[in-house]
Amino acid sequence: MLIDQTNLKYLTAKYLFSNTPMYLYQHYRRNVSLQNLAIKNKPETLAEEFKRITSKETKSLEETVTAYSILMSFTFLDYGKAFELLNSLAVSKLEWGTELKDIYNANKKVWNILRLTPVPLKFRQEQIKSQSSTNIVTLGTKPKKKEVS
Amino acid sequence: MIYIPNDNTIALQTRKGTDIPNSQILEISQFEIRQYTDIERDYRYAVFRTSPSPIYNCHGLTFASRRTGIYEIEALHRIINDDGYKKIKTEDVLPGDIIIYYGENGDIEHSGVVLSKPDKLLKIPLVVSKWGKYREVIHMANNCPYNFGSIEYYRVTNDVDRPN
Repeated sequence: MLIDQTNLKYLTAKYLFSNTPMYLYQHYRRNVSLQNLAIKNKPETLAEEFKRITSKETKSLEETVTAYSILMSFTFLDYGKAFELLNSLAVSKLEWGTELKDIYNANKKVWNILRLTPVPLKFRQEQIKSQSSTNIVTLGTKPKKKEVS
Repeated sequence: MIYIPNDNTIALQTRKGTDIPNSQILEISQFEIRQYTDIERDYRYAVFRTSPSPIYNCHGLTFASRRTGIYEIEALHRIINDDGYKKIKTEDVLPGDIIIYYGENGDIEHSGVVLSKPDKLLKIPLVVSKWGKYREVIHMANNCPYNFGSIEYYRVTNDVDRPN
């Protein structure tokens, strides 16, 4: 059995009371047992089990929940592998399989790393030609010879 | 855009004439029905008022008169906006208002119709809602499989003019 009874009961309840694919997606993503499913099993093994279940004309409730669980476990893999698996499987054989795949694709995050390199600052200091003692410091220009009236 | 309904879709629009994507699920397995029956024991104080029906979901009950299921979150926001729903404070809630349950990520995860004013102590109303493909259930708003931690109430307070 891929999923223990306690988690299977939880996942079954969430499946039964889902009103939208997004509800199913969010709650299955929060279930740690699905993350473990992805870690402890080879993706190819899970994919084979998914195909076996979805090829059946009549699926038991446990099989349906297991198939959804396998599909969602792939979303914990790195994006390239997940994308490959989700596209190779006939996800449409599950009622909300296509929707879950679409939600996954819509939620994938692209990370941009912005690296800042410190730029040395050049500044010049000039004294205002007045009796005040205010100094003006201008950043980014070459230092100029100080003029004093 | 021409909206072409398929076999399991009906023509459904908001007050402003915006098409609402919808879908009627036609099957519910005996496995599922048996499992639902087991889970009923966890909600002893709820009243299960109809037989199971996959044709409509909770949003179909709240916004489409039980004719079909509405599954897209975007469509729900469109309905709330186009139909003139306004948010209502808990202390002002009346029968007929709708209750929206939000998930932890802020998405709408459930909806229902208020049946009674919230009690003065706990401020929790009695509602009727559809639990997935299963039955319609009359229950205290916090006694259901959905997140009561984040809920809002809405009411259509005035008419929205349909553009010419």
